[in-house]
Amino acid sequence: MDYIAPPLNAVLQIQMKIKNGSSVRSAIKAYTRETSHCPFASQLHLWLFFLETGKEFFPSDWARKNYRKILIDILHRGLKGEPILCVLQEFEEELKKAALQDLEEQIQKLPFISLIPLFLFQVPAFFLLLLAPLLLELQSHLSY
Amino acid sequence: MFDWKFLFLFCTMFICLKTLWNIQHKSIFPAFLSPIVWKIWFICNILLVFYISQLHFNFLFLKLLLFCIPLIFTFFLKSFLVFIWKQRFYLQFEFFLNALISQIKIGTGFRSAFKKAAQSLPYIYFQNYFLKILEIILYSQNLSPEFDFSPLKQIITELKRADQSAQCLEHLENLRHQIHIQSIFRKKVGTALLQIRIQSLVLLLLYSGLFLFVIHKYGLRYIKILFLSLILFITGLIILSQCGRKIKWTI
Repeated sequence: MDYIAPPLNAVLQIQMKIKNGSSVRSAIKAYTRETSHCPFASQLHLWLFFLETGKEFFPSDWARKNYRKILIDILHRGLKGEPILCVLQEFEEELKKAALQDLEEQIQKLPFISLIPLFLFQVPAFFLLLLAPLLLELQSHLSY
Repeated sequence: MFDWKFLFLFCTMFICLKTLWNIQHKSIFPAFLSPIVWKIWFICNILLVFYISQLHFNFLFLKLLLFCIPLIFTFFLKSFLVFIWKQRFYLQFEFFLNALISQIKIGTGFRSAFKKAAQSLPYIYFQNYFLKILEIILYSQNLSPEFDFSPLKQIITELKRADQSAQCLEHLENLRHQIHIQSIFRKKVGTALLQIRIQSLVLLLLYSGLFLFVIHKYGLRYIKILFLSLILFITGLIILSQCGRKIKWTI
């Protein structure tokens, strides 16, 4: 499971690398290389690749996910040469709040979601195992 | 006449032994649990398989399924323990990083601070584990399977950079900030996931007991019902274990 929201993870890692002396471009490249298993990192890698070749890459889910769009805007500004470390730090706080809220909502839903397989599959399996042989035995005894 | 019972017994014991060997030698928590726990676990499996082999019935498929019960338990126990191990590792790493930064702040060099911070951890297992990480950082060894999981690889890369950098303390403080935020999220998700995993483990235990009891009591007169129930239960278990795997982040 991704414990941390992909844009927040990206902000944290890119920010750390910039603080450690990397340029924005190499920070993004290092992040996408180290987090290659994450779909967002792959998208970011493609975005950077297309940007370097002068084309535009904008996955459809970025339009729905506002924070990703903002992050891309910030990174774009950083690639043009603007200082973005302070902006990233402020954005990190915003993202943290949003991610925590999102997580809380999902955790609240989780017990109810876990009840679905329990009631649809496991409880019938228990009842079947407990009651069916008992009822069939009873039926065979009554039929005599 | 060849007896299938012994073939199943042999296969099950072999796979069970292989899984346990993998847990001890290849997995990421080799000595996390005392070896005695694994020995008890193994003896319990032998007893269970022996008990199953004593049941008299001729349905080959169901017999095979029954022999799989110790394996299912072993796999579930393994994934459960790996989950707990990772939670503990992250907690220990936070302690470790705080100790490391404190040591560097009072003027100790990175490598001796690393050793001192590792030795300050409460568990001997984790002390040795972090000292092995230091060896990897110093000698750039290839990662053995117990160190080969994604977040740890990143941590090792960052620690290597900190070791080679003149701004070691700043590197470590940045890493601590990142780890701290990750741990806030991990703890929140971890609690919810642990609940689901314990729920599946308890259900599996209860169901296995009931299944064996029904077979012991009625034999295989109602094999279709047993089979249907088993399929339903396994489907539920798989869906339940998949429930908490992915969080669909909306941000």
